[in-house]
Amino acid sequence: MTILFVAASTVAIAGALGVVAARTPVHGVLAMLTNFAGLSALFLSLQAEFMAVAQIIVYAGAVMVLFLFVISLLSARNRPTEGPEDRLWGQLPAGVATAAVVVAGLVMTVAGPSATMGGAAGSWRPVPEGFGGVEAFGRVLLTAFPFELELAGLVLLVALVGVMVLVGRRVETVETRLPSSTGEMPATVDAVADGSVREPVGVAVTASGESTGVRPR
Amino acid sequence: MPGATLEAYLAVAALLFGIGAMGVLLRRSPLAMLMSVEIMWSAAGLAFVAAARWWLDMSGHILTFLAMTVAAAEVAIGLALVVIIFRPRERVDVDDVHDLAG
Repeated sequence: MTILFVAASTVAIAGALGVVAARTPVHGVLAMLTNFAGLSALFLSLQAEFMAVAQIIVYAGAVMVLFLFVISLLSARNRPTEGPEDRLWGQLPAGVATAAVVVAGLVMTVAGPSATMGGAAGSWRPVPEGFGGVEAFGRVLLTAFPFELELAGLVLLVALVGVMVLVGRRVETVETRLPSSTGEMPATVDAVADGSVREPVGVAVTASGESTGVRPR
Repeated sequence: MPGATLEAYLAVAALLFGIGAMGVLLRRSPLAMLMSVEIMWSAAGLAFVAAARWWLDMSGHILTFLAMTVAAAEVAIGLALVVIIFRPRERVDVDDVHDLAG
């Protein structure tokens, strides 16, 4: 074990413990950044250069900033911090014991007597040229996994639309934009008005005057 | 060469995963719980990257990258839910949300 591995794993584990122990959310975010720095160093030691950079950019750059924004949005006037007195009865020993069982099970799986890590008894082989770099990563991603890439894009799009539906501003100008003459009304509006359609959606609801804007259901 | 054996890397990943699980179980604030879930995501990513280095197969990097994408989407949705649920409340505590408990 080299110094780099020991130092990076110590930093990562210390950061993770800091997240669990932090009383104020901002301290949790800072500990999380420490954890990501250690993890990124571990990625670098595994010759995963692009993953190390992506870890920093995506997590430290985007996700943690999102957390900071939400922390500043949530004021929690009465009780801003969380203390041991907030815990349920027996939560501390039960949580620690459960986590210990999880860790023990995982470690037994990879290093126990009945571990079935095929071919793991050996040493690291030298990496081929360009392994872990952005060029090799892009080639694998776009040639071997194009469908998965599209799926990731779809997941992000759905998340974007979902967030807009959840917390987006309700604009109540739909009604004024619709013409008030009866000739423009679609046939479904009458059905919505007399209740024969159970699940009215979108503009039909607004046009019938039943509701303005979109409410989360 | 990596600084330690594959088992050492996987042990670190398992430990990080366990710490994340402990955070989810122990913390009362939804923000801290989401951060602990992020630790669990990235611990799984470390295991994938270590395995990718061992077998010299970059598919592990791809899967870690996709997991990162899904984690980012999950955080966006989760934080939006946290904002709309906890913004009018005095405390940020998951036990305060029990409207379905009757």
